[in-house]
This record gives sequence, C-alpha cells and structure tokens, in this order.
Amino acid sequence: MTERQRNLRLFVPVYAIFLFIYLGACIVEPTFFTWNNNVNLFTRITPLIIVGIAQSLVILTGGIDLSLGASIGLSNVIAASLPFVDSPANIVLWLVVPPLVGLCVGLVNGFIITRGGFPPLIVTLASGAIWKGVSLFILPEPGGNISQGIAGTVTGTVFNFLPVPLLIFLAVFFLFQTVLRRTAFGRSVYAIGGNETIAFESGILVSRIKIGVYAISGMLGGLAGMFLSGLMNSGDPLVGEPYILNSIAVAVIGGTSLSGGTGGVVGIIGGAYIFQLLNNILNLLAVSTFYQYVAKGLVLIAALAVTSSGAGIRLGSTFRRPKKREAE
Amino acid sequence: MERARIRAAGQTLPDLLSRNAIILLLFLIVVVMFISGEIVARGFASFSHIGAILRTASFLGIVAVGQTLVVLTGGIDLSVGPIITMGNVFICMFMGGLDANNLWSLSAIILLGMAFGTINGLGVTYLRISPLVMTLAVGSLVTGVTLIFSQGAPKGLASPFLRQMGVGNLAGQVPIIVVIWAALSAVVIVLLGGSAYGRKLYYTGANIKAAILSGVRVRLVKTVAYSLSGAFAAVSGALMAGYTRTAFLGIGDEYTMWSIAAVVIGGTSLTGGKGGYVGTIAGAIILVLLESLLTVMKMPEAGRRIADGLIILIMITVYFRKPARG
Amino acid sequence: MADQSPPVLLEMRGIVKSFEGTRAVDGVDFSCSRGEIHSLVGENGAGKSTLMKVLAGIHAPDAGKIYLRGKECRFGSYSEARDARIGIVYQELSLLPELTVAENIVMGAWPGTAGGLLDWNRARAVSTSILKGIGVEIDPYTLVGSLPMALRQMVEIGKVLSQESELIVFDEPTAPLSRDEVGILFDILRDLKRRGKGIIFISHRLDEVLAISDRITVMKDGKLVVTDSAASFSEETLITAMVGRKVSEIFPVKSGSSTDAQVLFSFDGVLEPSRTRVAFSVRKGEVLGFGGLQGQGQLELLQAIFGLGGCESLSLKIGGRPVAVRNPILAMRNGIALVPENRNEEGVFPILSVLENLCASTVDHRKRFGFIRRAEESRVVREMVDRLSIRIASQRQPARSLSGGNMQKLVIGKWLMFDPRVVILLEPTKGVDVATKQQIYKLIRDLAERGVAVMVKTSDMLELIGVCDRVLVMNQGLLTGCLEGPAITEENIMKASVSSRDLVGAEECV
Repeated sequence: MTERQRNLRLFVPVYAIFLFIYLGACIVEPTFFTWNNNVNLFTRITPLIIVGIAQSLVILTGGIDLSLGASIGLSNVIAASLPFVDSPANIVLWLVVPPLVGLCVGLVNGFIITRGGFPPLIVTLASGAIWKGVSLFILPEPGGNISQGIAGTVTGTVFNFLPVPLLIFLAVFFLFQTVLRRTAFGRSVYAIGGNETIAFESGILVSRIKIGVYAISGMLGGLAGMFLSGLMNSGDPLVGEPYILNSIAVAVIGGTSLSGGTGGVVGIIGGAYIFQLLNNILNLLAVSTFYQYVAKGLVLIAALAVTSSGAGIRLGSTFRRPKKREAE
Repeated sequence: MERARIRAAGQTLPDLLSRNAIILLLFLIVVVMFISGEIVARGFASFSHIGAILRTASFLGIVAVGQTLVVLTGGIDLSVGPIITMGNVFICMFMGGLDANNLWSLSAIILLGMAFGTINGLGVTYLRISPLVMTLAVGSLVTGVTLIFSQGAPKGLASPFLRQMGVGNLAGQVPIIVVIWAALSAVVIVLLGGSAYGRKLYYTGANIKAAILSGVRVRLVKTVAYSLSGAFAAVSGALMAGYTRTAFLGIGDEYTMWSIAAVVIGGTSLTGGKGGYVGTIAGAIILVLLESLLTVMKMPEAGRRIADGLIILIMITVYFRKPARG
Repeated sequence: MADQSPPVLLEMRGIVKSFEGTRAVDGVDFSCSRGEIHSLVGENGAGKSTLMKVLAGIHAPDAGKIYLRGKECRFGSYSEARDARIGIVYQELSLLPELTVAENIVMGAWPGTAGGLLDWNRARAVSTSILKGIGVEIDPYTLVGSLPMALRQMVEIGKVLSQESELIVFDEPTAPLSRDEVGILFDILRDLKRRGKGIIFISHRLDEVLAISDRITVMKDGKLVVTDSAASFSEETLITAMVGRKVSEIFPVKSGSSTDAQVLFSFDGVLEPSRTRVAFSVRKGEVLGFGGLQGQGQLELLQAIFGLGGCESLSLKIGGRPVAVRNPILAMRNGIALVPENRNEEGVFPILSVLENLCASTVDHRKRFGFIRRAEESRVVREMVDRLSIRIASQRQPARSLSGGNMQKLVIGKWLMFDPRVVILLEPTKGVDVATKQQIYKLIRDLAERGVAVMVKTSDMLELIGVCDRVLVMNQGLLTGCLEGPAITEENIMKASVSSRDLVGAEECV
C-alpha cells in the first residue's frame, strides 16, 4: 500500500461523515445553508481548528497536551489586560504578546518533559493547573479591555466578502499541512511517534523536536486565546477549559491515533466541523445546552471506538517495539 | 555471597527498602508541615485543626482510593471530578433533607457511580480506547447528565444523618468522616495487599501482555477498578453534601487533578504495577496541608492553585528518572 | 575510495562483559577487514549478541579495547557507533512501518531544498538508487509495513547503506527467508564486499555460513574457540567447535517412544492466513518439535492451541476428549500452558517479585475467601525455586534483577506450578546461558516422561535435533516434513523446509 492510499483511507471517511452531517442538517433545517450561518460556523470553528492542530501535533509524537486550556486562558486574559487600549500600540501588542505567552508556556512544558523524561500527561496536567492559577490571578473575573478595532476586524471580512476567521483557519491549516508533509521537522515528528528509539538511533534530534512541538502547541493556544479575546471583546480566565477535551476530540475524529505516529491535520477541518455541527444542530433544534455535554461525550466515544486500534494479542513481532506509554 | 553479588547489581533489596522508606519520608513531611504551620500560626497543630485537616483530606482520600486502583492498572480516571459533582447534586435531590430516604439514595448514588465507572472500564477494555480520552469523554457525559437532571440549579438537601457524617464528631473530638476514611483505608490496604484481586491488579499494571498470557482476566480486573473508582467518587461527592448541606455544581472539578496528585505524590507509578494506597493517604494529607499552610501564610487563591501544580512537578522529579535524549 | 585506508577495519581485543557475575563475553578477540565477510557462530548463549552489542555501543565492555580504522574507540551509544560508520541489521528491523520506504532510508539525513522544505524528489531518487544498487526495485512511496519480510530487509539494508556504513553487522538475517531470497541476499552481500565494506554475519545456518564467509569465528560459553578461514571448516568441525562436548552431555537421552504409545493430544485445524489444514498428534513420552523457516505458520498453529486465534475450525483433543479453547483462560482450564518467546514482554513481570512471578498463573489456587494463603504460597515458591535451582537472595527481589537464564526459569516455573497437561515452549533457550540451557532441556525431557504433551518451537537447529523425538517441518502453512528419530538431521529439515508436499494424513505424520 502506498502512502497516498493509506492517507485516502484515513481521511476520506472523516470528510464523508462531515458532508453527510452537513447536508443532512441543510435538508432538515433550510436556514442552515444561509451565508450567515456559515460565517457563524467559521467563527466558531476557527479556535477549534487551531487547537485541534496543536493537539494533533503533540499526539503525533506520542504525547498529549493537557495545558492547552490554560495556554488559551492565559493568553486570553493577557490580551485583555494590555496597556494603551484603543491605540495602535495596543493592537501591535495584542498581535504579538499572546502567542508569545503561549509559546513560553509550551517551551517550559517541552523542557520539563524532555530533560526530565517525565510523562507528558502529568507534566501538562500540572502545568495547566499552574497557568490556570496565574490566569485567575491576573483576571479573577471575566473583564478586561480590548481595543475597539479588534472585535470588528476579527469577526469582519476582507474585501467585503471573505470572512476573517475563514482566512485564519485556512492559513493555519495550510501552514501546518506543509510543515508536516514537507519539512524535516514534520517527518521527524512522525518518526518519533512511530518509535522514539529508532528515530533517535537514526540521527533525529528527538528532544529538540519534542520541545518544538510543545512550544508550537502552546503558541497555537495563544493564538486561539487571542482570537477569542477579539471575538468576545473581553478576557475570561476559564475560556480555554472546554478546549482541552475539544482539541483531543477534534484531533482524534480527524484521524490522529493516540498512540502516535499516524494521522495528521488533513482531517482536522473535517473533524472540527463534525464536532461543531453537532453542537450547532442541537442549538437549532432548540435542545438545551446541557445535552451538548452528553453529545460531546458520546460522539467522542463513538469516534474513538471506530479509530482505536483493536489488534489482538500477537506473540512476537517483526518490528522493534516502541516504549510503553502510560495511560494507554 | 548471593546477596553481595545481587546488591552489587544495585537493585534488589534497596528497591524494596526504598518503597517503605518513601512512605516513611512522606509521613515525615506531614509532621514537618504541621510543625512549620505551628511556627507560623499558633494553633495550626492543635487537635481541632488537625481534625479539620484530616476531615478535608478524607473527602480527597476516598476519591483517591479509586484513582489509586485505576492507576495501578496503568490507566487514569479523569472522570472523577464530574462524578463527584453528580454524587453531590443527586444525593441532595434524592434525600430532600429526609432521613427516610437515606438507604435508597445512598445506594442509588453508589450504583450510579459504579455504572459510569463501568462504562469507563468497558470502553477501555473492550473498545480499547485510551483511558485518558475515554474517561474525559465519560466525564463530559456525566456533566451533561448532572446538568440535565438538575436543570442547572441543584435543589434538595442533605439528610440529618448525612449531615452528621459530614460535620459530626465522635466523642466530641474525632470527625466521623475521618473514622470512615480510616476504616475504608484499612480495608483497601488489606485487600490490595492480600487478596487475589489485589494481586491481579498488580499483574495487570506491571505487564499486561504477560498477565493475559498467564491467564489473568485482565478485562475484568480493569473494569472492576474503573467501576470502583466511579463508586468511590460518587460516595465522596455524597459525603461532601453532608458537609455543605446543599449541592454545588462544579464542586468536584478540582478533585480530578488532586486525586491524581495524591496518587503520584504517594509514589504509585503512572505506568502501573507499582505503589499502593498507603502512599496515597500521605499524598492526600500533604495536599490538604499545603493548602492550609498557604492560606495561613496569606497566599492568595491563585497562588495556591499554582502551588498545587508545582508540587506535582516536584514530586515527579523525585520519582521518575529517565535520561534525556538527543 | 583511495587505497590509503588500512585494510583492517575493526579490531576488538580482549573484550570482557559480565552480567550479574556471569561472563557473557570472556576475553574475546575479533577483527574484520574491508571487503571481508567474517561470520560469527555459536549456540544460543555463546555470547555472539553480547559481543556485537558491545561493538554497537549498546553495552560498555568491562575490559578490552576496540579499534576502528586503527584508532581506539569507545562508543557510549548506538548513535556514536553509527556516526563511526557502523551499521547493524537486526532480525527485528529498525524500520518504522507507518512511514514510506524513502523516508525510512533517508531518515535523519533529510535532503532539503534551499527554502528549508524537504526535497522529495531527492529523497525518492536516493531511495531508488540505493535500492537499485542492491538489485531491488521498490516504489519509494510504499509503506514499509505493507512489504513482505524479505523486501523489508532490503529496505533496512538500504537504510544502513544510506548512512554510509563501512562495517555492517547482520544478525540472523536469513531466518525468515526462503532459499531464493537467501540467494538474493547473498548476491547483495558479495556486492557489498566488492565495494569494500566489512561484513559481520551471524547465523545459525551453518551451510549458509560456509557458503558466504571468508573467515569464521566460533564462540562457546563466552570464549573464543577458533578463528580461521572458512575453507578450513566443514559442518562437522564447526559443530564440534560450537558444541565442544558430547551431544549426550548437553541433551538428555531421548525416549525411544514408539507409535503405539498413548496419544495425549491431537490437533486438526485450518491455519488462518494460509488457509491450509494441519493435523498431528503428540504421544506420551515424546517431545514434539516444530521446525522450518520462520513465519511459515508454526507460530499461528501453536498460539491457536493457547486460545490466541490464528486458526479456524480448530478441533483439539486432550486425552481423547475434545476441548474448546477460544481464549487463554479456556485453554488454561483445559490444562494448556504456553511459554512465550519474548520473556520480557510476554512472560515475566520485571518489576514484580520472584514470588509474584512464580504465582502468576496459580493465584486462585491458594485462595481462601478471596485472600491469598501467604504461608502456603511462600512454601510452594520455595519448593519451585529449589526444584529449578533458581539463584535468588530473596523471594521478594524484583524479577528484573535476575539473569536471563533465571528469568526464563521463572516463566517455566510459573507454568510448572500450574501442573499442566500440555506445554508449548517457544524458543525456550533464547538468550539463556549454557548451564541453564542444559537444565531446561532436562526439564523438558522430565515433563515428557511424566506424561505431559510437550511441543517445542525453536530456530536453533542443534536444539531442535537434540531435544525432540519427532520434528514437524512446516512451509507456507503446510506440513511438509515429519521426521522421527535418526531421520532428524539438518539436511532433512532443510529439505522439508522448502518442500511443497503436503504430508497431512500421510502415514509418517499421524
């Protein structure tokens, strides 16, 4: 089987399901297909796609990032606490500082995980708790100030019809698709997820790449937080919490396996849409938001049941075994 | 002679000693923390304050029983927070402040907890879904269920019996809940150490493939562990209602991380097969003590959250040691 | 490529390596020159793998020196060895099945364009040209995991070549290959030799070793026995050098089990991927062996008996009564035991104690109201430890502190405690020292004599011939050889390994 065949087999189902749900929704509820609704969808999807890509990257190396929620929250409250509101200086800061903050969070994660050799689950769990605390410290209650121009731009359009969120998520998507498929960094990520020992013995600088992956994840979290601050026109320290689970869900539905080494961002758009569409449909059907939690849980379990590798016990193997990972 | 050669390999007997040494060290830390607290604020190490600390630690300790079992199998349970909240909300709803409802409401809560735990277990064993994501997903499910049945506004009241459990004292001094915890701990420790199930738990966590090939019913062992975890979380949530009288949404949120922290601090390995509940007890007490110490030192709320996370990081540097690569 | 480079590539002098007091390698000298194929032979436990691991930087030697191209070297890791142009092709390949052929070959030395992006054209070209250089054509975009074993090996060789290795070690490369594929591999080796590479070839197959090598070194019990040109050896002299003792000293006397002995166990099933039917039986007092090339169905067959699948319409009879084994627990309930090949991953619990390891299959035997009877447990463990002569200081010491041989005894002991009626052993002496090997052989013989149906699968030819009363050879899922008594010879086994005659139902195979 060639790579192309494998990729098709992996990603076509996601998009098929996505189209199925989308068309189904349009048929059931014609207002679904309006331009407004779609723009609304783009807006809601963008942070999902961004964090989905972030989590995919980390999961591909065989790790997990449970601090994404905190990266989002921290960058979000910092974005809303920047000085010189309503001046160009503020806008520049707003563009630069939040992703940088996320980057730093990720770098710290990466260093601790690689230098100490600790399980990513625990490190990012603890790190998330720490940064959540910091966010609550900076902004105990939702509030803060965002420059006037920003909210309008973020939800607005370019050239009068291209919605900004669409541009953002397409840009991020294609950027990382390229990184994963066509850079040494990206291919090394797959190698590390496949078998870290072999990757190392082949000359790949495993530690450096892992640090990079967590740094990028944090930075993308920062980007999402920044976007959300513009969207909501304020800061909220806990805005990122739901995205911890959501990012994993989107990554998994999008075809990335939790054991690492397989998958990618191609399916992320499809995965994010499926996820968001279900929420959207529930809203349209006037179902209470409480059911969304249930729906989220069930969809995730269904997606995992389908994608989880169910190989039975096989004695011996012809490939060297990767190291045992915890919680697997 | 054998002994010398084996000790030269640097592994065996010291390995065993170090397990007990760790536990001793942990309890030493508890003592030191109490003393430090007393230095900062008189009365910190008073009988009544120790009781208060232990009372708070009991709620965490009970949840951490289940988490310990699950981690010993090499898994993790991230649904304990939502299940605690569920137990908390539903017990008030079921009891409605009446003692007459005690038996059936408590039983119902335990069954509900076990049910959700079993879903976790089945997803992990039969659907082969990673425990991390499975329990996260079920947690979301549980949150939804709790919200739906309470319509976002929990009603009801803890019964007087439950209140007694939560805030009452035996002989005027010892909190009842601490006694419950102590009894429970004794049972758990004995079962883990001496029962066939306990032994199979360790086999499953130490090397699951070898366990399967040795005839251990790994699926059953794991599912029971997750089931128990759900049950203990629900019970803890119910007991918390005894303390707070009414229910609170989100009351269990912090406990997910805290239960994991207690287990990790207690020396149980996240890859499974190593550790036990004794360490978790110390871990739970240390965590609660830390909160109290920081409060007494006038550290703001956010700072305390930060400290929680920091302590996990510090403890894993103590326990895990793998060389970096590349 | 100028001939200023010294001809001697590698020199190892006086290498010593011990594990827990046993000398796995005891003062061994070994060398290899450019353009030479130097083979290393010896039984399981002779120290060949350890010596190579020392070379590859995986183990640090306790004593001795390594010289590469005349300069003294000390490797702290395989990466350092690789940087020094040493490459190893393991039996378990170092490939990533989820990645393509091209990626596996260029991994670590990704070809880039100016823009920082990967040059896939270059990668594809490099992959194709390296593979063509060894006479193979594989689409560079193929996923390695979907290739058959022989081709995967080619990719592995390609990978090693792309890292510009000058000294290449081949560890048991021919075990899973057919004769034709071995021929292709040998052409490649000769070509590498012509290109001036130094090749170290490790194998159990003595005829192949004699065919391909320039020099041969024999190791036994960690020591160097002899190093000489291949021409000066014959199979007999090699075996004598490898074994160095009378066959009767290592292997216990076989039973003269006859065909009228009682049938203890019978098997009749259709193997899964090959859809071939196999039927055989095991008689009282005999040790039944399974031979043939690796991956011809022996594993599927044996694991099916333990309830791990791989067989459809399986019909098993123990003592004449039909039994159903849909999973290991059912298999165990019928008295079937399996000693797996990879003890670290499948048989032993490294972090648990000796006691816990020995009791793993019999926990429920010593229960009272759900609790384990400690005193009784301790007693049976002590008895088993004595019976198997396992060297321990305490029952509570962790299993990983034991030597390979003692760990293997733990696995066997675990099953002996179970008192099985059928025992399957897969590669029972892999990575086990010679002294323990003899004890294990005696155990196997005892089991057979006591009326347990014993089946052994091993790739060690000497072991197969020495331990088993009867040998079933398989090829492509078919039963192609049934050898008994004096007919069990390496030649007959090899002949049957490539035969396509299905002998199921034939007179000699019932």
